[in-house]
Amino acid sequence: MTPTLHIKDLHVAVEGKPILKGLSLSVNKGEIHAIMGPNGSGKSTLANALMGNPKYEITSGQVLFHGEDISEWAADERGRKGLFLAFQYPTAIPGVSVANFLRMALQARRKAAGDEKPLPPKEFRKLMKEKMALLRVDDSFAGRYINDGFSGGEKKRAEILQMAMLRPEIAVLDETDSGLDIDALRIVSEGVNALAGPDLGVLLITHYQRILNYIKPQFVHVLVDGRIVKSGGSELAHELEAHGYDGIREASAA
Amino acid sequence: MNPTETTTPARAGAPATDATPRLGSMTQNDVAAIAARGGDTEFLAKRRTAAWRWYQDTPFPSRLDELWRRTDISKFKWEDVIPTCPAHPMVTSASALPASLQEAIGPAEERSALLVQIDAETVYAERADTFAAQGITFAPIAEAARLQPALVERYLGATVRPDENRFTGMNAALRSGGAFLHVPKGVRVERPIRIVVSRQTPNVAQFPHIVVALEEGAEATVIEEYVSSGEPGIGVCVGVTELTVGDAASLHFATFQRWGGNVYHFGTERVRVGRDSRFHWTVTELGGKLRKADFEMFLEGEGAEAKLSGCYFGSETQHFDFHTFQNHKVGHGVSDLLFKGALRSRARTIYQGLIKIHRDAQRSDAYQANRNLILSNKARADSIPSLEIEANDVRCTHGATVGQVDDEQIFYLMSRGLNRHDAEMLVIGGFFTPVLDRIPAESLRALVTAAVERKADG
Ligand SMILES: Nc1ncnc2c1ncn2[C@@H]1O[C@H](COP(=O)(O)OP(=O)(O)O)[C@@H](O)[C@H]1O
Repeated sequence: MTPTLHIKDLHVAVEGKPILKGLSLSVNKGEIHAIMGPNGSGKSTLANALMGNPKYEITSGQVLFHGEDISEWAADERGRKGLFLAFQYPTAIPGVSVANFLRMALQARRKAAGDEKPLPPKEFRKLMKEKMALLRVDDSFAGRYINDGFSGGEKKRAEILQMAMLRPEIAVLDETDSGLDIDALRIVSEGVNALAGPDLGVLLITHYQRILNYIKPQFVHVLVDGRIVKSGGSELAHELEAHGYDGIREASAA
Repeated sequence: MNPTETTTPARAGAPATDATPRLGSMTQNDVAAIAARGGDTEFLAKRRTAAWRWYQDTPFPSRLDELWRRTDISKFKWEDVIPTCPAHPMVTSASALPASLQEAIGPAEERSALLVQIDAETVYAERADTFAAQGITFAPIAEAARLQPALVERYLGATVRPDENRFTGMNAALRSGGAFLHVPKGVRVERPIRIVVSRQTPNVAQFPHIVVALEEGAEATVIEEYVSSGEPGIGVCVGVTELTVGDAASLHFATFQRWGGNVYHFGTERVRVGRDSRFHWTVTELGGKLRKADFEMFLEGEGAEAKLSGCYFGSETQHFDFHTFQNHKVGHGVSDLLFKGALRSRARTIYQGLIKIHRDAQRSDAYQANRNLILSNKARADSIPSLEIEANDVRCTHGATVGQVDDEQIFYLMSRGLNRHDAEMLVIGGFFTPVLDRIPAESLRALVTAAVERKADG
């Protein structure tokens, strides 16, 4: 069977400097994968390269989505096809309301899926309300400007809210746990768990084991210096917690 | 030309004949002929003649003048400009106006009065039935001078004098159309009053003079609009707008400029704001080839509040040169200015903003911000704020920025499925939102927002 997302021997450079050095990974719908790695190992580079950030140059290898090579695609094509990135540092767009933006994004996504008709305003509002309740954000959120003046926790919730609205097939969560207190972490994790299921594949990128207490991956991969050095089941996360990245590094070097 | 597009199918839009004097060959007799044709009262005719003399003795500003350093008009062929044009007869219904103008003007229920000028003539006037009972005067200047000579003599030239510079002199000497609005003490005008200046005849120059005076406690919203669709040849408009806001009065004044791309528009616009009064100026500048405008707010009564919310969008080779002046002459006044602009292709904008706080204007509070969003590496924006503060107990804040659309913002929006164009439009729209949100009249806000969006869309 063709994997939903298939990363093949991916090499990525930033400003000419090689960061990812041959990374391979498959993620299917219905699966939750965690990628763990120390600072500077290339986690955010992977997330950005998958989403098509033009600053991250794929120098060799492939990213296949439903078997189609998307590595040359612009970010919007990837997004419309069902790839989603929850940003580590979501950028603020002053003057553009969350609802207005999501209405446009949802329409673009539906259109790409062959549904020309925009969602009627009433249904859109209903959907927004439902998803905002899921992320436990106030109704006023819809009218606020994207990430403008949001607290760290609000930003992360807004990312998952967008994911809930756009219903991607593969969601890459880039350090969605960073900067969250326990309550916010729980809300965000519950949101992700509510969306997880047979129609969604999740690639959870994290530095810390903490979030894995809330979101349970079936697969854990350890990223060191631009390569996956070890893959395993959820037990690998506990191993990491016990021995640290150095332990893994030594074990894999041996 | 489609006949429905003209008010006078037989003549409008016809080129001026060789007999029509050019500005370069005009004589005092030609000026007198304009006065006679426009139905000037003796007061107005005398004023014209005096202004004509003064104009002839006064040179154009040169690039040595601080406010003209970045706008070069030395090559402009003033002598070829045609200050009059074939007559456009008055029409009796807005539905007889050119279709494009009707669209610009919008539905009748969104206004209480309307004056329309095409080229050098007023072609349409309309007032709510209540105006007479309320004692409101609203008419082209010559007509107002016949109806209310004392009022016109009191307010005409009281805020902007003809002898300030060559442009104000030219406007006073060659005045055409324009509008005079007087709202008596305590009278409140519900819906906006609109003054539309349009054009259709190639190379004709217009000299609209707009005078608005609100007496104590009066309230009104007035929209001056400059609109055309780009007839052949060049267009010239030299305008003067003078506003007086009486004590405890409240005026929202909107300047909405969306000329075709062939128009050179020079404007001097000034308001005097009285004690405890509220004034809000919403400025939208989108069209024209070259636009030079002074927007000046004189706070002349204690407790006056003057606000300016401006947006401009330049594209192609448009050249905009704006000057704003927050002039605190007395204390306890508040001025708040936000002027935001976007520039595409090779557009060039200059913003010079001065805050002056006079020696006795203690407890003044002045704010000024100019923000520019550059959308092309060939576009250029200069922002030159300055302060002259003579009082010591004041609050004064100003800031200027020139920036570009942030790649990270575009990537963020695109990652959600928006194409690049839509992503850019959202960011540009978001940039203007704070200033558009400040437009108080809802119908105007919708109109301006749509016009800015169309312009952003290319
Ligand atoms: N936008 C960028 N510009 C320059 N260098 C970058 C950029 N992003 C990442 N890098 C570099 O790439 C390496 C990996 O970074 P990153 O992918 O952020 O790792 P992680 O997310 O695992 O901490 C680091 O050396 C970092 O300095």
